[in-house]
Amino acid sequence: MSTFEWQNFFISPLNSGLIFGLLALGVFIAFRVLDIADLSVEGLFPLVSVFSCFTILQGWNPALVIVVSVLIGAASGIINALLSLYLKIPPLLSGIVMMSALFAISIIIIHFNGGYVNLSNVDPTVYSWLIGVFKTAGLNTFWSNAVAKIIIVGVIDTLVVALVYFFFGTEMGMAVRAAGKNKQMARANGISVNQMTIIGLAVSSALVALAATLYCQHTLSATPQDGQGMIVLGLSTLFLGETILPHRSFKAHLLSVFGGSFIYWYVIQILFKIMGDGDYFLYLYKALLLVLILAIPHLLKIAKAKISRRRQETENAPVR
Amino acid sequence: MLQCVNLFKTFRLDGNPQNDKKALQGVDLKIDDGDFITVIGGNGSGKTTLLNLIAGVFPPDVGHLFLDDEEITPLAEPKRAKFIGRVFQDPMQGTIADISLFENLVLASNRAKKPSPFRWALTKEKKTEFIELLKPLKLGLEDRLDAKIGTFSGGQRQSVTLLMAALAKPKLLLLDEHTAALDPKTARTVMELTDSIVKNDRVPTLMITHNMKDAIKYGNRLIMMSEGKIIFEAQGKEKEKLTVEDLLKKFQLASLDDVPDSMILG
Repeated sequence: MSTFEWQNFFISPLNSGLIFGLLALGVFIAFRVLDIADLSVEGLFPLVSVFSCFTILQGWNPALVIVVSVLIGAASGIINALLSLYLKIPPLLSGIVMMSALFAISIIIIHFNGGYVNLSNVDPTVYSWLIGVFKTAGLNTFWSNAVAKIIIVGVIDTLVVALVYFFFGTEMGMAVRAAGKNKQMARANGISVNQMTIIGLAVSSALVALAATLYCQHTLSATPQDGQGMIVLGLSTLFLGETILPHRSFKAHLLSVFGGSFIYWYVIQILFKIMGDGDYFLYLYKALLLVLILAIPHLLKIAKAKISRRRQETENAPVR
Repeated sequence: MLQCVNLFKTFRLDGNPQNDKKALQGVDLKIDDGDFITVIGGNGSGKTTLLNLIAGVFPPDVGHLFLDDEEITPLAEPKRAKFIGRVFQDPMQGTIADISLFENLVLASNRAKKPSPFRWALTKEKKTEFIELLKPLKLGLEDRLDAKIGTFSGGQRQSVTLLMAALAKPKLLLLDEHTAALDPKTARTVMELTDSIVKNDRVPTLMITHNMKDAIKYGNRLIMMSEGKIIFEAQGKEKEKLTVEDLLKKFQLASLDDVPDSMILG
């Protein structure tokens, strides 16, 4: 490998890990805190990424694009919650309905823009300014890009984790957690489960949207296919973090999601190197990885139980 | 003070109206301040439906509910929970297993107010307050504030649920066979705790029980339900003189052949 390839080998997963940590955090809130398998992620992600590139091409300020993207995410989460809570569509189906609808809107946007919404190197993104600063300071293109993106996404991640942690420690955040864990207890304690589910899904989807807009401004391109495998990615990251890292307290659980994200992207990177390039196999690798992540803790448990049984048998063997 | 006026409730079990379950058929009940009412009755007599109607789990088909002369019939369950505390039969239902005792208590103590997204919930003041609250109970709970409720025994969880129900000084306490899932010794401890909370806080209480001895021993009033109606009521001196045999006779008069053994043995 050339020097450039080696640099990219280490930097690229770091970038992805930082950005998709936000996606995993969104999935964590829906899946773990609210106990809802929210599949709308798969449609929200491409919609927001197409929307972001489209509006930047229209000359919107990238920071404004991020704010609007987050609002779109929150709105999507609210609609999703309303569909399941008030129209009594099962959450799994309402997520799928949302996924189709949002995906369709992303196709419509692409269609109106003449088939593609790719940014060029001169279009402004949220990273542009800092990349410019590093370039004038004398760094080469690769390192200015890498460092600027890591700093900006890193700062956003830190703020988001702090905010999410604070929110789930407030009275309202505690109520959201209660509504997800035990509906009967929540209602008996004066908590409106419906309201809290709406709030929780809004936060969850807002985080997914944030990841999507940061991602498309990072890759400078967006297609409706961007959402493919996003739910698998989010869940893999979540389970990987839970399998490898401690997550007993809420704070540790939050951080384990990000830890999982980094590990996931490095594992994918290594897989790529071993298996050779071949985008065709990417999703297959990812699906296999998820199976492994889910199966390993269970297999380890069985193995441990066997070992402990054998040890006890020898220790307590009848004396002859 | 709670007043139930002419409550009716029918459940449609399947599409066929002939199979409708008439759970309540005209219940009038007035719970005065300081009342501790025990409720007994066979399976399907409408006890739990009555409690659920008062708690607001579902609305009555006919009838009205008044709390301190204010109509609460249209209020949803979480709104009523601000002034009605509840303990369920299943110890798992009243608390959240994978958060700490402290967090569970905080949730219960905030029940009367709108949850704020800006106020930190787990404050030091709250913790000291709970330690002071738990110490005199001598259950050792004050040392386990940071332990997850999932590690507690059924009896401890039920005691915690009881404390949580009474924490925000409710105007009414509803107990639905809250000792039925516990072993006899633990059940007695939880009953003693219940009695002391009801007496100390002077909170009006409605307690369903399958244990006739408990129904006679505790509280100042007793009501017996059958087929969705209150068929017998006793209070004060009259209630103190009651025996389990008396109650069984009443059941037989109401032609209840299906008195569960647990009620006789308990």
